[in-house]
Amino acid sequence: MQDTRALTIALAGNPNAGKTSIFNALTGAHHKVGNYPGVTVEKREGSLEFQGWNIHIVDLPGTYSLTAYSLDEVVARDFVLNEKPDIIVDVLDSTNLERNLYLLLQLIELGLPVVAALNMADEAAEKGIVIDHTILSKTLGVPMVPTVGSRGEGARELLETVISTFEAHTLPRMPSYGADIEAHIAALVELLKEDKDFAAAYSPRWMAIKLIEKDPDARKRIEHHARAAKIHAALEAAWHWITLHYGKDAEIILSEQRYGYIHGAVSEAIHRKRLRGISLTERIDRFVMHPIVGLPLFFFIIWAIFKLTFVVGEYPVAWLEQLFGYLEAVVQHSTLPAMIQDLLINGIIHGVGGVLSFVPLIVILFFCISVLEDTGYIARAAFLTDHFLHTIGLHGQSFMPLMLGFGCSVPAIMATRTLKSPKERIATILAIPFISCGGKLPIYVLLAGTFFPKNASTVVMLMYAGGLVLSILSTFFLRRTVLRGESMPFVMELPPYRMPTLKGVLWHVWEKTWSYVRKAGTIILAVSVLMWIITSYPKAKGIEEFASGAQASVAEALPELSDAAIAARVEVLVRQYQLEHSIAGQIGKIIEPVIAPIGFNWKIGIALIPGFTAKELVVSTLGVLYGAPADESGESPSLRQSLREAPDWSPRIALALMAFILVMPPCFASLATIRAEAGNKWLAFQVAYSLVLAWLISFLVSMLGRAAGM
Amino acid sequence: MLLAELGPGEKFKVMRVVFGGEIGKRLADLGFISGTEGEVVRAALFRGPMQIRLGDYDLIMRRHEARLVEVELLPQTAAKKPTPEARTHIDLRPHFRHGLSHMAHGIRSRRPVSGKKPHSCH
Repeated sequence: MQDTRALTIALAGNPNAGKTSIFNALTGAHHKVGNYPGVTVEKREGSLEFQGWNIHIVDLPGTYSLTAYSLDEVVARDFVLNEKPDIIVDVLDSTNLERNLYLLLQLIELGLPVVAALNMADEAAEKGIVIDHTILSKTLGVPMVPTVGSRGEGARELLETVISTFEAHTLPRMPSYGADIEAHIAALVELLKEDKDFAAAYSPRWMAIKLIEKDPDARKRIEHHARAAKIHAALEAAWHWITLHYGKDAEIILSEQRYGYIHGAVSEAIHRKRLRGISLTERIDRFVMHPIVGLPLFFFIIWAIFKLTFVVGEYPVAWLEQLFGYLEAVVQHSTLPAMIQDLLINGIIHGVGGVLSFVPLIVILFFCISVLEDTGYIARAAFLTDHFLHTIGLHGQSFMPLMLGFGCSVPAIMATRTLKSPKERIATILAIPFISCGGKLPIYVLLAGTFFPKNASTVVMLMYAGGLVLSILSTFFLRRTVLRGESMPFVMELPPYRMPTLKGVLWHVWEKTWSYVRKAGTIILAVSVLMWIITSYPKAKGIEEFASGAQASVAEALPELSDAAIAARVEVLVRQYQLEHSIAGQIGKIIEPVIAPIGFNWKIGIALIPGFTAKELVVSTLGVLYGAPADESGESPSLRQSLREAPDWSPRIALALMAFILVMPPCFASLATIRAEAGNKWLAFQVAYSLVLAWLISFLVSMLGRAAGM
Repeated sequence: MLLAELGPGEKFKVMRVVFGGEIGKRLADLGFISGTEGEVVRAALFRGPMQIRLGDYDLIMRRHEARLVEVELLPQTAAKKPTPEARTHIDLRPHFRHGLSHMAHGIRSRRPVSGKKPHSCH
């Protein structure tokens, strides 16, 4: 007999309070990540069954307060006000209770039942903080359950308390702002209640408090109220009175009153034992944030992460490449029609495979970053990098997206969500494409290795450095012109170091990887097919005659070759012929006049086009164009040979091409991500900006090269 | 004086937040309330953010934001003696211990020991 009842929980709490681990402990594998409608704020939802209840949990963004100044806070409060969940669970960091209670008070004021989880109970105990949660619960009127989210302790008790609170319909006690201010609040509440519809939509007390607090969002909403004018008058009176009696702005006074209420509530409930010695966190921070040692240590950590990523990543990448090679063989030996085979192999397997086979690198990179995040090191890194980043107009928090850009632009751009200021966020997003992503590396390696054999690694490093410099200069310039504006205040919590849990980190990695694969994967699939179409169609006329002619001339020129070897070479020549006559070939010829001043011909023009699917594909396209059959790595030794011998190539051209690839717009997956995170306007700007800049810079490089006699 | 003018190790009591608006509200929400006590943990010379201990937690902020907080410099307490006392439970309710004079809100922040490790007693 089905007797399930349902309820929805909104999970709130400060950042760093362990809300995510509570969410994971409650929902386990049954959760999904999406977006709040219309905004780039992540929404996590999950569900579970417990004691006959079907419980749906929505993870609100972590916030310190519920003002209207921050998108996260607006999203959180709008969700509660509009969607009206059944109950709110506030996850509190027990080691830091007062500041965490500040949010709790505001959640209470929303008018829904509230249950609090006193999380990190283990850490509080270690710090010698003893919280009598029965007293605290009674004083605040909110049921409190000690939990240790990282170990899943207390989850059951929490759920039981949630259910009993919901069933009893108990509402928490409203915090008091002192008799005088309460009088003003009461007057406003009376006026607000006069509009019945309004009062039904928004809790009058909450609205009254927000109005006194000069909340911009509340002010906007009140315009629809029937008694708007009288309310304005009452507000003015309230503000005037407050300024007169307290000498401070009403906004600030309300915050102060809240903390006063909190101090009163906790004084009986918290006891602290004095601790001996310096905390471990401080000991570590002496090195990590040391004025001299700190930055080098930071760079070392970054270097170590990249090293680890590439060294460990080699294995899975090789396996995946083998897997795709196997798939290719399967298709080749199947009985599918030739065109489908061609589509599958050249379109999909090469295109998608080439890109997805480096997903293991992304995963490892995400893993390292997640560990850093969960330990709390990221805040220290923001501390160390903020000064420099501020000089170019960015934020200490921008450093992580920029760092991810060395791996792949897509997760890097998605990581900019942590930046709250829109201008700084867009500036960071625009800075990322100039940082050489992983896809550009094969091109650098090919060209540097071919044309600068003695200095190959130096040239590659030069490209990376150049990208970084360009990124910095570009941001500096943009922040003073197109994206001019005040910097977001930099005030950030510095949490104590915490040991990450394997489960927690793996969840992070899984979520990030999945959204990356889903986003990039679908775009890359679509674009790969598109590329295949424009490089294989229209079918070149006279291709059979060409093929037999080629057969004859190869056999004549190189009689010592076996039939199989001749066939292979002929196949390459045929593909070249096809490519030249395809749409891509036409495009290449059309853009040739534009790129000619740099020294590029139409063949290079064609090679650039797949660069929009994924930069790695430029190499394999060059392989086709210059008659070297591609092997698994997309490159072959003879390609280098062909390039060296080709009359239209030289070290100067190679350098100019590398520069062009460095600066040109990023792959379609990145462009799609930019569009999702920054909007169409900035996408168009990014494309135009980087195309023009790419041309100018590679032109410059080409001229300098000519002057240097290359 | 302003918070931005303080150096490492200096203790302060918040007087007020100088400007209102978004940043003022943010600071107030985070605990920069009249009477709250804190300590500057770290401040590089002229540049870079400061690390401030405010009650039970630490935060980092730029000097620019620190200039928005008016504070009163508190007299620095004398050098800490290594204390066998430290092992006893200390009940910090207001009507106790004369030494804990700054008890405006009944809460005492954990005092970090500066400099050398305390002599460990057994």
